[in-house]
Amino acid sequence: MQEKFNKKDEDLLWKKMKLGDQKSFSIIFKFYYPKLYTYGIKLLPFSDLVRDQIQDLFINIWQSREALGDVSNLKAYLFISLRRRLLNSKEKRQHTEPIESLSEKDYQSWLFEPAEFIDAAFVSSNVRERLIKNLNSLSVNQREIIFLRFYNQLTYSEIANIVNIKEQSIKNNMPKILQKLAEGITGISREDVRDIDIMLFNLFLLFQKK
Amino acid sequence: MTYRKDFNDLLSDEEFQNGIFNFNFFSNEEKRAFIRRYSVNKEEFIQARTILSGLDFQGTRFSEEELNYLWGKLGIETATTLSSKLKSGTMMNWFSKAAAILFIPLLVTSVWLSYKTVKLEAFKDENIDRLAGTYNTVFAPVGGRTKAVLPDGSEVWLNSGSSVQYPVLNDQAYREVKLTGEGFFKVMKNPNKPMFVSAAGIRVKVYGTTFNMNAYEDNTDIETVLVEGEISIVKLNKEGKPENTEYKVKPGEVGRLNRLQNTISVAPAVNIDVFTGWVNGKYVFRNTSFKSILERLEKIHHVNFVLEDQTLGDYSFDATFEDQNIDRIMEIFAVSLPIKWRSVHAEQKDDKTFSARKIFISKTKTGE
Repeated sequence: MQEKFNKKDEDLLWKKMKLGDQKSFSIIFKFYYPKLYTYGIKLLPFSDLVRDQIQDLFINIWQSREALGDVSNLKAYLFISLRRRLLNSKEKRQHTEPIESLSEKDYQSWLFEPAEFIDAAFVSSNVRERLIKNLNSLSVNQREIIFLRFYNQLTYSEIANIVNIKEQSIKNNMPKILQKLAEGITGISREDVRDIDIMLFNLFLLFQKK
Repeated sequence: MTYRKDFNDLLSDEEFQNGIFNFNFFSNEEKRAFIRRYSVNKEEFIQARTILSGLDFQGTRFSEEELNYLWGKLGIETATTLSSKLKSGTMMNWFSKAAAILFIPLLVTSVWLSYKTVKLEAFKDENIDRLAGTYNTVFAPVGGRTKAVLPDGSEVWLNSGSSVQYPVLNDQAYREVKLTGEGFFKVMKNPNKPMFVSAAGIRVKVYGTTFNMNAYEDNTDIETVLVEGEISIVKLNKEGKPENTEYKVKPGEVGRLNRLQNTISVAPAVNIDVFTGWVNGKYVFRNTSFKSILERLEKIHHVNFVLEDQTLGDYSFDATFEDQNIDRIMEIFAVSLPIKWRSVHAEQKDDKTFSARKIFISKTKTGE
């Protein structure tokens, strides 16, 4: 699935949206809604609340469109806005709801389920299970960083902006996170699958030696 | 395992990660350059690929209907239409309204900043229309199989060397899909909006079915076999427009376009597995000539067969292969047919791509 529009297209859509073009805005909305929902439901596992906040976010953008500036990365911009909204509403909830019931559900935030992943041909089911296990054993912050980097292809600097951590600190922590992710996994290819990339790899090595 | 000391630093490098994330989209040359640039060994490459892209995350999917509903719920379109009607009292639709609003600032800008005319091109509405029809293409590499999930939740399994193209989002042409090669489709039910699958001269109309379409460019017959549901097939003329006659295909039947005679016929499929087995890695042949079997195998495995004795091609037999490699398959042939074979390995061509492996098949003296 395409993760982002290319920069030129995105700038065009955003500019037209600011000029009041509903079609451009609907394209932005329909493209980013599923991605925002997927992120939001990980941050705060309350479907209705996430949906409401996304609607609200887009209404807000439309109403204040003339005052909005250019955005360098629309996806990062939308993610930051949604995150802020959800964390705010989480705080509000904590005041109104008994702490226990919330923390019970809170436990599920950033839990990755096997059903959320499709099979990559080159990974056996054992390795896949191990990867998911390792992923879930990371801290909530680390899981969020992996989610934004691996599954949303955002850059470290964009992620730093979203999760409000210094970029350097993400860079410093990454080797440790990846080491944890790799625990118990060694670079052995699946024997039972024809692996085109590895075949190519062997060929490259062959020709390099020549 | 032999990992370099700074392996985890390498894994953390953004550029390196981007390379691994997009490795599948690279050309062979780009793949080579990437491997050379980071001088990773095989174990390191496999490890990096497993850690960085071993888990393919699928976010929550939304159907087009749901997104339309959610978009409607924002209340933007109705609100603007109403207010413009109240103000101007005309029945001008929002679109021409928007165009008019757009036109004035554009005109002003173009007069004042004439050197920016190139940029203004981007404001033309075709650009937005093109975006609304942004296409996504999923490929299966030669020798591999891939599964794709379309935005409406329909699933497509792609056989070796095939691809499927679909619009990322487009209200009108949403369920228009283009296939090259071979695909097995499980189409989500939507009685209001059929899906159209076009490939090599035909178009299949479906409402929610399971079917297989074998439409490799060099096939004489384009075969569409229906597992369940209902489909109809029409020929496409030279301009790619569908013709009038629809051919209905029932479950268990195969619709066949003969591209030489340009005719469509519908007949019962004797054994569905022959058409659909490949989805599970099973290749089934029933009373099929050796030549046709080899042609099929060429598409699945990155190989070329050379029959040194053409009469060999006429042998017909039944065979079933389950994800076996080509050497094993050749051994099986050699047991049941009077043949000898030798193979020449893939070579790098002048344009730096790799040729397919060549397998020469000749008749043994004893078999005569």
